[in-house]
Amino acid sequence: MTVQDSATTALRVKELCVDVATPEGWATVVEDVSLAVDVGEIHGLVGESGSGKSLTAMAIMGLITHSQSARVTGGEVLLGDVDLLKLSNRDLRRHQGKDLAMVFQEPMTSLNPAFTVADQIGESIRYHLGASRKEARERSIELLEEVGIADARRRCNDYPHQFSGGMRQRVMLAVALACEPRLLIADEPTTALDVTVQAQMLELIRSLVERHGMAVIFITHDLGVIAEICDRTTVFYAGQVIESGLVGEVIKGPRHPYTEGLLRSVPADDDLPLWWIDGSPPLPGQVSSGCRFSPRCEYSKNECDTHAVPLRLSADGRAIRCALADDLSLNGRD
Amino acid sequence: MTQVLEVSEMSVSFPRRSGLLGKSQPLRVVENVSFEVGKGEVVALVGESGSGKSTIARAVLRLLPIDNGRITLADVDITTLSQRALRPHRRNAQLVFQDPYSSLDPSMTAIEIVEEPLRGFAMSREERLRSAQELLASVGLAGVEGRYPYEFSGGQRQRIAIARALAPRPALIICDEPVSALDLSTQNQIISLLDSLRQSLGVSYLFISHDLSVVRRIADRVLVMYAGEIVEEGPTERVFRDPVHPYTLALLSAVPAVVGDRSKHAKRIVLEGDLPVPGAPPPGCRFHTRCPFAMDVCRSEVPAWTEFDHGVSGRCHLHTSGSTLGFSGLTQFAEDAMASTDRDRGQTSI
Repeated sequence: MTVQDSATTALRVKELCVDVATPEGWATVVEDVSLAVDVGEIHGLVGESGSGKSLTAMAIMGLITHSQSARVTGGEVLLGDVDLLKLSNRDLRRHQGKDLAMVFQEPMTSLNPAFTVADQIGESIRYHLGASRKEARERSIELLEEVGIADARRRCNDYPHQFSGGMRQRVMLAVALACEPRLLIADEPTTALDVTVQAQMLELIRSLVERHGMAVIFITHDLGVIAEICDRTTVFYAGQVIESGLVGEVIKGPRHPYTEGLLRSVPADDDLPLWWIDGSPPLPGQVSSGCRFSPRCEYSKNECDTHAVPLRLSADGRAIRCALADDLSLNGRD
Repeated sequence: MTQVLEVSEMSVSFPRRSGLLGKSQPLRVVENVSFEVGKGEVVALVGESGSGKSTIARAVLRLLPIDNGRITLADVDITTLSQRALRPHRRNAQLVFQDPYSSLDPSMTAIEIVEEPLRGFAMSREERLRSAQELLASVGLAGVEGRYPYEFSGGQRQRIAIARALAPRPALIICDEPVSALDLSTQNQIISLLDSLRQSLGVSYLFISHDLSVVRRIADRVLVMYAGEIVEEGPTERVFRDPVHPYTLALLSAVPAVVGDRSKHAKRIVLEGDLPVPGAPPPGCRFHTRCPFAMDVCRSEVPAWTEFDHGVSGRCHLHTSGSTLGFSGLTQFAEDAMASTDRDRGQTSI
């Protein structure tokens, strides 16, 4: 499965900036992030903890527009022609849960323990589509069947604690799919699951995307998951996009040293010694003016530390933020 | 002393009361497990959540009561020792937990955290602090003794936890998912650290993990758990290359591989369903409800523990009940079955 030929862009994020509150004041943690996700595409965001992937997703969902501890300071989030960042709370709610849906990492905490799963799946159907209680319930049962819950008609009256972790994540997917969203954001949806259950979930997500043709942003720190399920990927480092492109091309031929380092960190089957990138990412508010990866980069030159590096688009649709990209020959994985 | 830890025929139950006035029905979560950990050896315990891995870890430390069986730690049978009599032996087995954010006291500095376990020893305060300082240096944290946990990253905190575990000079460290909360690059640093400490100090690890790519890097031997039982055991490389049990095969195939070319993705067995409910294992082989190869005999008879020629042991009827499918044929069988169902995706649910 590749990006659809008659590609239509479902979501376009332009130069998004997000600040968070620190004891020293506001610090920029997402800087000039641009993304485009086509209908039917699974777009993977990858990067270390704190690289800005989840905040980008939260900003797209409109979850930090009016928050005390974080604020969007610039950019556009275009769903079709609508800039979600310009909407009032009231207008935004017409999209949240309908055109935009999200699945979170923790299936244990993201469902309400006090309501049956049918109530939780049906809530957005009633709110957004004006369905009756009965219609919403019937639709919930269909959705539970679609995400692979056996005996859905009986199980829909159960509470979240009666489901296992993997089943709860399936229920979360049913909640997210309830109003046929145009964009689904999945924030580490399989990280808390066992590998066997993760395999089931990835399979399910891919088949749902094929059937519904929605656009998906899939956040993970696991490059194996990216390789398995995503069509395109965007690599984050210290709040910036440092590389993006088709998954196969990025993995086979990374063009940013950080991407190369990430790929080398994945244990291979052979007996090569374990690899890691020395040092840690800069803290928010303590980034240098030059390339942010430079202090950890084995290819770094003097110029890297002095000049800010722009994200450059190449003719083949790749984007790279590295001043040396044209001179480096980096190793990927076959 | 050759074996640091010997566990034989250990079973563990949790008490459970059904209903308001119902009878207490213990829930058997670990059934008759036996294994040992040699000096300087790394033994990995793998399996899904709920398979009993962490329960075993807590039981061998006598943090949970056991139903039956025997636990020998550093040549001392600790099964029936009173908590008081156990105290001098506790230093021989230490724990490193999964979450370095909640396993360190936020009000203590790094050096206090590492010094604390030494207080029971006949050492002066100066000796303890010097020892703690050396331990922190040995895990790569020199010069930051006075800092508090919040000043450290996740990987550094895990290093402090390792230094604390090493402090009483244990024979065995039980690592319960020690790297699963860390980024990949940091995981590799910690694994490499654990490995070098093993070589320099001769300490043994019982390494609990659900991540097989991590296990492969550090473990000498692997124990695969399913629904409270050990279903396979053997040297890591052999188990990875020629697994005996279909569950091991499924676990191995479920790990997403980083490959640029999707057609190279490994053939995959996607197991359907979940682990059986604890305390109510299915009759016969506990895995038969999810096993793609299940035969009639699997549904009624418990497979016997069998040792195979290539040094791997396991319990599976496929190899013992006259089936023509040997362990070497298991992988091939799975691949053939999958190739015929869904060629372009290389995946199937069976």
